[in-house]
Amino acid sequence: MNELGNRLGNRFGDEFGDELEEQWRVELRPVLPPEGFADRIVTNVSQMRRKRARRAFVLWVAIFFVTAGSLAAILKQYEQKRQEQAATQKFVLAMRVTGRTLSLIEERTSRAAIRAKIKTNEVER
Amino acid sequence: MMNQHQKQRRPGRDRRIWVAAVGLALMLPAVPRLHAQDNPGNDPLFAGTEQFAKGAKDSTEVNLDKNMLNMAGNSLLTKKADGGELAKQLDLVEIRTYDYATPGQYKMEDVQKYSKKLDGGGWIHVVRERSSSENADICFRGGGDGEPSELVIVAAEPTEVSFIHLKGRLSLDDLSKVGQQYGAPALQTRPH
Repeated sequence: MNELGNRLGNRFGDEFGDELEEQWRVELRPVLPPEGFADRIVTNVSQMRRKRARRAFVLWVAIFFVTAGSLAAILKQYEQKRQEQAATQKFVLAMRVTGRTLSLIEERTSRAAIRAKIKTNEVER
Repeated sequence: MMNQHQKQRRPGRDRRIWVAAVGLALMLPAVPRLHAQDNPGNDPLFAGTEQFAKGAKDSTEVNLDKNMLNMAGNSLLTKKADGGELAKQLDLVEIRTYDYATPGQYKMEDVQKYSKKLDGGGWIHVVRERSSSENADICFRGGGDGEPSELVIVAAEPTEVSFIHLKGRLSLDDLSKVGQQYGAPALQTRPH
């Protein structure tokens, strides 16, 4: 401090250096904190911690719901796809069975019609 | 000091675990069942047809409701495959087929019980065939608009019995075309 005062004194005159040194001495003297300062610091720190914890909690809850929601949507889509495939396979099978059965019946009725025609012709003769 | 710090943080962590558990529990019902079983068909026309499964080499059961038919229709239409339109026109598909290794595994009278259900009740017989070893019924029932809205086929051969019930807007031509697309032999539809 003296060295700085001397250097400033050398530059701006001794009187200015002394004044400045004195002013600094007054301003930079150790002072006791106001009453309750430490308590307020502790309170603020704990409040900050609580706020930070709450923010982190909200963030985790949001992450959880977004993840769970996405998972549910993926599973739903998967299940829908699976059901769609199963339904399509069943429908194709149903149509195949129906088509085949109709065709068999048609074949049988055609045979029966031909038999009836032959019989009629025989009777006519 | 450390313990005190840990004790202070524990309630928050516990709360997080609880919220996660509750959230998960709430979401579980929304998660679809991965291996849901199809509801067995309970068509009154075919009630008791399970008896034909006895001694059958193969049995096929297909039950499709409107919802599943819509799904199948959408899937087929997306793939530009045949039958998509028909699937969407149908409301119900119930099929039971039983294949036997040798003739005489079922009684024809049992099949005829189901054919008799189609006498009356607004059913119109398109085909009715009776013989000692074969039996065939193709019946339609119209909707309010006069268009056929229901089709039932009961067919019995020495080694095969089939019960088919379709509901919805349909025609034999549509069915034949779609059946052909999926490997069934062609149906020779002739004008009467």
